[in-house]
Amino acid sequence: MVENRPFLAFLTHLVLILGVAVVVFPVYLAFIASTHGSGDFLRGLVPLLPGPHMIENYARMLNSGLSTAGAPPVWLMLANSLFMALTIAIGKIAISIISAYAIVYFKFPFRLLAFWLIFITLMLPVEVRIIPTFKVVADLGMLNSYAGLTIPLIASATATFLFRQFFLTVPDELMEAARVDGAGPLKFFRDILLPLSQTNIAALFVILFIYGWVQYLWPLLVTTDSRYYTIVMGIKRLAAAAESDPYWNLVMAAVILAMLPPVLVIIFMQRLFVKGLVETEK
Amino acid sequence: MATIELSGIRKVYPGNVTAIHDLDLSVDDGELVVLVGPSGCGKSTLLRMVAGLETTTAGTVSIGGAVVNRLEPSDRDIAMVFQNYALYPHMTVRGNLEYGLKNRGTPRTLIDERVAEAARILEIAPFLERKPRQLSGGQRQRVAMGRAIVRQPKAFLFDEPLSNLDAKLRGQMRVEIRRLQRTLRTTSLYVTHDQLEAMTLADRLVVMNAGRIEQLGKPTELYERPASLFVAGFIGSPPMNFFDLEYLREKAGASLPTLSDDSDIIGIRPDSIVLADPQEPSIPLRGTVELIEPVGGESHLHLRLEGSDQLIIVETPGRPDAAEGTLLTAHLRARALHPFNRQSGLRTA
Amino acid sequence: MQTKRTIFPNKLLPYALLTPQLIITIVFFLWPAAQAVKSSFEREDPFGFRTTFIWFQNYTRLFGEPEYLNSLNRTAIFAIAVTFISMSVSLLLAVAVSRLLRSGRAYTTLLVWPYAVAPVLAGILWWFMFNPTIGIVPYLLNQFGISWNHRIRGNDAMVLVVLAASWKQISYNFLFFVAGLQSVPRSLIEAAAIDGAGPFKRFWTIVFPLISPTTFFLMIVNINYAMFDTFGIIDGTTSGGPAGATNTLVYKVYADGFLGLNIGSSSAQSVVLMAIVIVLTVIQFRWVERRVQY
Repeated sequence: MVENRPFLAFLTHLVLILGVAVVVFPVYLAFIASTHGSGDFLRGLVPLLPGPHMIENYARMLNSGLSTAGAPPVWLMLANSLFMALTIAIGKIAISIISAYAIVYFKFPFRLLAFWLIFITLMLPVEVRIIPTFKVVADLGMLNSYAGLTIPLIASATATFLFRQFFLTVPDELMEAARVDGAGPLKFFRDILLPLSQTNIAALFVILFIYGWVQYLWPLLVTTDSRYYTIVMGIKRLAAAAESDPYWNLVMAAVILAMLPPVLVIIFMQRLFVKGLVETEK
Repeated sequence: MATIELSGIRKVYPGNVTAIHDLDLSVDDGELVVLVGPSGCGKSTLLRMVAGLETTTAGTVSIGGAVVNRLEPSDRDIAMVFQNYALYPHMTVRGNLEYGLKNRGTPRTLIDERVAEAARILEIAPFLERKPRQLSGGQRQRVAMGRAIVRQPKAFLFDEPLSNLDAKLRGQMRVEIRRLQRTLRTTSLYVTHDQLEAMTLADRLVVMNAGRIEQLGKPTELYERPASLFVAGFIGSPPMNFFDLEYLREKAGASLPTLSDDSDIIGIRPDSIVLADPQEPSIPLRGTVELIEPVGGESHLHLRLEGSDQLIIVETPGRPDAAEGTLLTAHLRARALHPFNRQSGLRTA
Repeated sequence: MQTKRTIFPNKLLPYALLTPQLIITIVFFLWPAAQAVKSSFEREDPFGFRTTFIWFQNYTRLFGEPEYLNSLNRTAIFAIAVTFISMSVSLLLAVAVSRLLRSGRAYTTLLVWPYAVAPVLAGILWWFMFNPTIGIVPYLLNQFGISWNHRIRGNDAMVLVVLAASWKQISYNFLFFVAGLQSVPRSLIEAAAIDGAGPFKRFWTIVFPLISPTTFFLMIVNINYAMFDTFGIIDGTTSGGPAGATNTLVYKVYADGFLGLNIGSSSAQSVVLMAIVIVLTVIQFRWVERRVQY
């Protein structure tokens, strides 16, 4: 900054340390809870320092879960979540990149209409059309299936816009050179455009993976069979059960496990995450 | 080897904007024809129509005697060099050179042979495994050329290939393109807005204006006998000076040559105006030196004429003795006058 | 709309490329939305055998219901509080981080990860912290003589969901504010310093006005978030209670339609929500246009 004021520097760090503390504290508390035995919660106050039961609690949740809560073992829910997040991320990227390609590199009747149809999806989040969407999925026989969990969420206006925006910045001459070099539309897409989109695809993947992972309402609507539970919705069942039996240690172990994959993705791919986040909102 | 024939070419854009008006042009086998003109004159559109990147509204494009109007760019057997080079950024130089050959199913051994040959000619062998972004502007330009020559096409199409280079490199690459084209003898169509580049490169030069050909011929012909006011003003640097015939007649007296009746505007190149009396028929004009631009071997004098207030440019060898602000007499060589008609814009004699 | 200067001449390929996206859009977005609009004008008899077209009755009934008006009211309070708290905290943190050079990155990493926490998990974390029997916060509050019970007191419940929702959104706002602050030209700040403005004055007179496009954009995004993306937070903490104190519009659609099976009313609520999203989206895109012009 412009001038050097020790007090201001101190204040800056103080603000940030407090901020980090507020942001981290709820998770710290959950982690501490997950390292204790269930008896430790009967005394009426959550412990603030780690206990000795961490491995035991996590192992139990991963392997068998809390059968009393009607939820399957956590490993299965984690696997379902991983499958759902990957399918949604890859599916959204795949269908959006080809839609954007069609819209930017071709001219055809109803091009504008197609663009608007895709745009409208922005204005129709699942939350505002719960019942009829549920009905469609039920009529198609997609309840309690991986297809029902993923396919209805795969359309993406944001991803399509991001790719469209990016394609418009690719120099026209590149496509012209490729045409002179004998590349047709599919070859140009595969050999030139796809490799050039790598960074955008990666950034978008990070955002969409998280989007897929944190889905809650949708799995809640379409799955009743516990084999298809995702971790995020399964935990709600666990937490509800913990109201009566205080298995807080086990519930919080599951919470930590559910948060870990997407949080690690953000921490290790922070650059791509920031790029993806900022660019999808343009 | 092939010729390029354009006949009756017209390009109308949506909204009824006509970019090219019924244009005919033929490029002989092995010839380098340069299209030059101000931006928006249609020269790039014409080139892109030959390439197949732009559709033709009417007329036929033939390459090597075959009509190619309906063929895809890749089936026209042409190669193109773009202004921004259009190198594939994610491929190595070798990948860029190979791409077109691979798409045509050229055998591996032949690809390697062609790439090696092109790399040798253009001296880019040391960079073959690098990505375009690791190259300098000049090197990228060479790779773009290389991509064109490995294909051994019927024709090269150049779309302002030197515009992105700095002045010095541009001069070097110009010579190189000329040398290369002479060696390979590949029929070439070259678009530029830089008249110096056009003059030095062309076997024949086409000056275009507003979608039409203004004049077509050898560069020296165009310089010495511009067919229209537009060409006269466009070719040559510094540009030609123009005078009202009436004004000159008043100053010239007997030294004015006989001109056809419809002449009313007279042009003269800055290098045909001398400061010392040339001892040949000439027209003396007095004016004040406003500015002297030394440009190396010669100087450009900006002279404000007495009486008319017109500013003319005189190109004079070395350094003139005159200082800025002094009054002097310039002599227009009577033999070097170019008469035009203002109305038609055409040369009158 | 913009395309490339040259385009591929294929006639059918573009349709083939668009097909997957359009099929999903039509089947799972447009068709259900149309159904919602249609059934918002209908009444189904209790056994689902017959539907009658009843014009705007569902809507008039809806806006006459005290529960719905309460929900509107609660949603507004919730959205405004979340937007204000989350944006203020984020701005403060972003300004602090942008004053730092190297350590800024470390702080950023520590601040951004809650973006990846599912709303329902955020809800559970805060619910655990505020749990009236074992939670640490009620315990601490009790030391100061304040009793906390969000299971009984509506205001406590509202505070809880607002805090959880704001916590979750801090990382998002923080990143956009950091980006906005980075785009303020340093020369302007230096010029202001030379003109004798101290750091706080510089912030309020130079920096804050210059990042106002970011602030406005975030405001819309946050309202949108608070209204539509917080279903999990509500469901993970209060389930809309107690006595509807945290029953936001989205939660009510779910509760009335999916749990309560009142299709007509739920559809009318859906349509109202759609109208709200449309307005917010239009404002947001208007803003994008304006930003491009800057």
